[in-house]
Amino acid sequence: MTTTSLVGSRHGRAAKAGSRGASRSRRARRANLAGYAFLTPWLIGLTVFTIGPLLASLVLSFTDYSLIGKFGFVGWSNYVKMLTADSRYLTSLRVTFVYVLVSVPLQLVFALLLAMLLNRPMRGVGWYRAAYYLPSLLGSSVAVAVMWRQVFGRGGVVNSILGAITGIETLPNWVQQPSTSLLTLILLRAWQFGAPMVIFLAGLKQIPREYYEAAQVDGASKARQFFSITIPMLSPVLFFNIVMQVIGAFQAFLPAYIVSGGSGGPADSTLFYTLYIYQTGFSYFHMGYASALAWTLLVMIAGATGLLFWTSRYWVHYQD
Amino acid sequence: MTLLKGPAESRPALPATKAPNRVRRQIRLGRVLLQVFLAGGLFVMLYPLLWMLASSVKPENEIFGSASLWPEEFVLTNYPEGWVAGQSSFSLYLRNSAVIAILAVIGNVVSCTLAAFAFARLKFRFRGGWFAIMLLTMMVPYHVVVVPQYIVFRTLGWIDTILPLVVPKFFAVDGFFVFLMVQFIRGLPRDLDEAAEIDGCGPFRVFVRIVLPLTTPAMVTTAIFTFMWTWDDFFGQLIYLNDFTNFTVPLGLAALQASTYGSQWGKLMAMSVISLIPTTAFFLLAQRRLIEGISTTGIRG
Amino acid sequence: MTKYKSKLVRSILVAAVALSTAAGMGACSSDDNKASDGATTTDAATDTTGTDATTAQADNSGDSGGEAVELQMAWWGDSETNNKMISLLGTFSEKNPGITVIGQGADWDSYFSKLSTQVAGGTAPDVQQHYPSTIQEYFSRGALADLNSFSNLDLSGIDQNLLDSLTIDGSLVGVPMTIMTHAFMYLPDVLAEAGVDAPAASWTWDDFAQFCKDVTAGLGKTNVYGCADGSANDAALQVYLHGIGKDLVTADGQLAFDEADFVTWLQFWADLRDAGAITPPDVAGYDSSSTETDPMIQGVSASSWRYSGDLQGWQPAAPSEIQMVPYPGVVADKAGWLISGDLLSIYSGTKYPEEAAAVVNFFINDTAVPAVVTGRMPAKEVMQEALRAQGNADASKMIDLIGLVSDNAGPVPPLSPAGWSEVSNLLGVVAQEVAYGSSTPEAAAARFFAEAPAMLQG
Repeated sequence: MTTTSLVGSRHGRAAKAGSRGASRSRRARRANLAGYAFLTPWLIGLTVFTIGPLLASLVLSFTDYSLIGKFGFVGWSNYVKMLTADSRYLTSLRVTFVYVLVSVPLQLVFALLLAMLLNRPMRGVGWYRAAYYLPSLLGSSVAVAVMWRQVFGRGGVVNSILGAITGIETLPNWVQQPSTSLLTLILLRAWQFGAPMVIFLAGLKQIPREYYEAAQVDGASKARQFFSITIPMLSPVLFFNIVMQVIGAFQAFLPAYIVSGGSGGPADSTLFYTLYIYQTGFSYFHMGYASALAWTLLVMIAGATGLLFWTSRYWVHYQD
Repeated sequence: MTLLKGPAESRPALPATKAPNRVRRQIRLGRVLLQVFLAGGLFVMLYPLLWMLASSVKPENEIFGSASLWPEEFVLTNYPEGWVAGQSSFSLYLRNSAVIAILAVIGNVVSCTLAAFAFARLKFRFRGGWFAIMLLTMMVPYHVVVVPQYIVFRTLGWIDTILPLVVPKFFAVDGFFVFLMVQFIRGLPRDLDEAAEIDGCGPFRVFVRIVLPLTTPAMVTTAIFTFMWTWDDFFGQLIYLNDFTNFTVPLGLAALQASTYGSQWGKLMAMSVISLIPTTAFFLLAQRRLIEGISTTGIRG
Repeated sequence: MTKYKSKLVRSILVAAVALSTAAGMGACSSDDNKASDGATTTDAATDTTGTDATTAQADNSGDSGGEAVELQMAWWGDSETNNKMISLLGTFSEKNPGITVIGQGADWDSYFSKLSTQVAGGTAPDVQQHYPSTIQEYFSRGALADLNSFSNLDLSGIDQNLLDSLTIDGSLVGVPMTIMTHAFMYLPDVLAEAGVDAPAASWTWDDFAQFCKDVTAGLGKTNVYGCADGSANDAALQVYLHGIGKDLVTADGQLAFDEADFVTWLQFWADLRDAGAITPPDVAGYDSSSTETDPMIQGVSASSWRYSGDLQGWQPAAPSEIQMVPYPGVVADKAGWLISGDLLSIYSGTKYPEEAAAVVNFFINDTAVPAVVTGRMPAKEVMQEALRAQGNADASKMIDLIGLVSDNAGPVPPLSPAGWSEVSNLLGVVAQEVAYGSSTPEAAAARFFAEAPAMLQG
């Protein structure tokens, strides 16, 4: 499912290699060897550090493992409970989907816009980049959580500005209103667009300048250049950013954890899926159930990623 | 630095033949607007830093009581007191964090580039399958693999050392960066390595001579993110490091967090400001490579 | 497991299980005494309390003979706490040659994530700090030793009601290093501004309601209120329930109040909220235990629902001096009881149980402790007086409040049963829904009583 584009490109090259008349099987064997040689570190890492814990969590999702003490197998009952008898699970699904669907496009638009603006030689561009990257450097530290709550608090800077514009005296604490608390976390993610911005910058750097020069000679407009040079040439990186931001947004944990003090509040309005997993596993001692939640999330993310890979056939242009 | 001649400089030459004055004025206006826009955005971006800076020099009860950025009363003691507040001083935390972050950067850049080259350019059996597995490893929420992973590292005898935080990076366990590099390498024109192959270069020489130099921007990106994310990784450091002499910056900051039994917001803010300096410095140094990194046109031309 | 057709899948699963579970995941004892346990870890959960702990001790007590002993001890707290604890451990080693105690400190928010990972991974610290509302989660799953079995623990002088509340099926799960009680904190300066008298040391919920209205009206400000909303605070609810002869939950995990009680409680607060006498939900600070979201610290409330042990942390951040009285009661004088602040417990899998008990004994009895741990209230009265002698104003306030409450206090409620953390969270969520207007007291109580029982059994 996730490999369609890779398979497609492989065929093209195989045909080329064959036409050259070299002994195909020997070449293939050597290529095989080279491939696995380069892959060795990754394969060791997968075997030793990654795959065991991953499969262990899958096995645990069929148990009543409590984190402490012994456990027994319970069949599918964790999965059944999730679908039939858990109102907070449904809440967390709704919160997470809204977050993914709104924050990812918002963040990527900011990132691409700023990357293009900061990709030109200009006095002090390094400082601008650093400044725009700064919110992301702050990460999800306690200081950011505190600051965010202050900014959107009753007497915060947001209300000072809104108050001056609208003349309304008592504006709410936006973080502590169930109707707006998720919005403030979406804005937090949009504001921390530094990571995709840097990736876009690196991607823009890879586009050969001659393409733009040629387009200018042809008299192509800026918009035309953007859609027929920048976007296609940037598409592998754009695709990467979309896929990774979708995966990242589905797994978003820290923003809600720190801003709500771990509760997902007020009134469960920021109960992200992974925050619910964390609560279930570490605060409520149902690690078996938490594992089932996690693997259900994995299926959802894999579905979304698979869909993106499928669309990528139509708009992502690789050089190979 | 000849490479810096970008579209911005070469552009005016062309339309000048058509409608010189109007276009030139538009361009100048555009640049001014751009500067205004960027500078305006700066305030939104820098507000948190200003807030942190202000809070770090305010007395405890003024941090949350007043919305003003300007302190009514300056308290400068938060910096020296925060520095030595913990069991060890912040210089030790900074050193421990730096060791972990630098080793992680080296590990990630080396191992992820190797794996990405295999996925992007080499042809081998089950490549698609391995690639799908790599993507899948990124999709499992971290918290359900914490305990099994902890048991693996305990079995290896690595608890209370930096090894669990560093060694896996040398084995490309961060799928994010492998995928990132794959996308970059696949964006590179293939004719270069094909030409090299015809000249008799094996995969290793193609990797070293052609692909490696061209992936500098991706490697710089990997280095920036690895440094920052390792620097900020609280949970891993919390679980694997016990002894106070192994404490890192995030653990030192957490110890300054106001708990039920204490209130040291000023010191927390002061040390948060300090902890930003290494990451910002690393970014400033590394991002220069994002400007210079584009020597590809030279080769290609 | 027989459902899997592919041999490959099965062998991967087997490998995964072997790697992770057999390595110690399903067990609670340390790796040394668990070689034989490994085979049975995947059995259905069995009750291992008490007996398991004592056998572990018997197996291991021989290990320590003669050689230098190194113990691990974990606590929560900030850097100041860390420094004090480390210096106390140094004192302990001087007095107990041959025993070295390595300290591990984590902040409150992450302490239990780390501890549960360590317990699951078989590297749990020998001496652990615990909290009354979660200690059962650990004890009921066999992670903690019975402290009654140690002859070198001197518990004399600790309130017997408190010790009884910490005894489960005859096993003492932890001993209180410090104690506290419910504290209604208020700012005298703000009350003076409002022209309202300070609440009496014994007062009722009706007095409280009047107090909120008077302060809010007396201040006459748009954004400052007399009291913080306590509807989502299970400690306040528990004090109320005690007044009507009920409780939140029984020791064996049954809810000990009914839907009508909960409706009454939520309605009480809803009325105050409608009257504008308490903080509106967006500034009520439901979610955090830190000073920074507390409405009193933020300057939007004249008072706050806290514990006496918070005073040390709250005072420096507060706009003015803080005073404390007990929570209101249904009948005046019948509110509040002693609460264990920091419990010390011993890991059931420790190699050195006797030495671990010596550490616990040191922290509850050694006179060096109160001189160093200023912010917390030692459990023993002699130790409290040692602390008062230091002339710390906050400490005196805490001692006075505890004295006031313990004079009237009856039995201490039993420890929260396993599963309570999730119920407590649900209680907060439904109460908040009423506060934000997305639910009614009746609907909220109905939801709570529909979902909570399953959590307590789970």
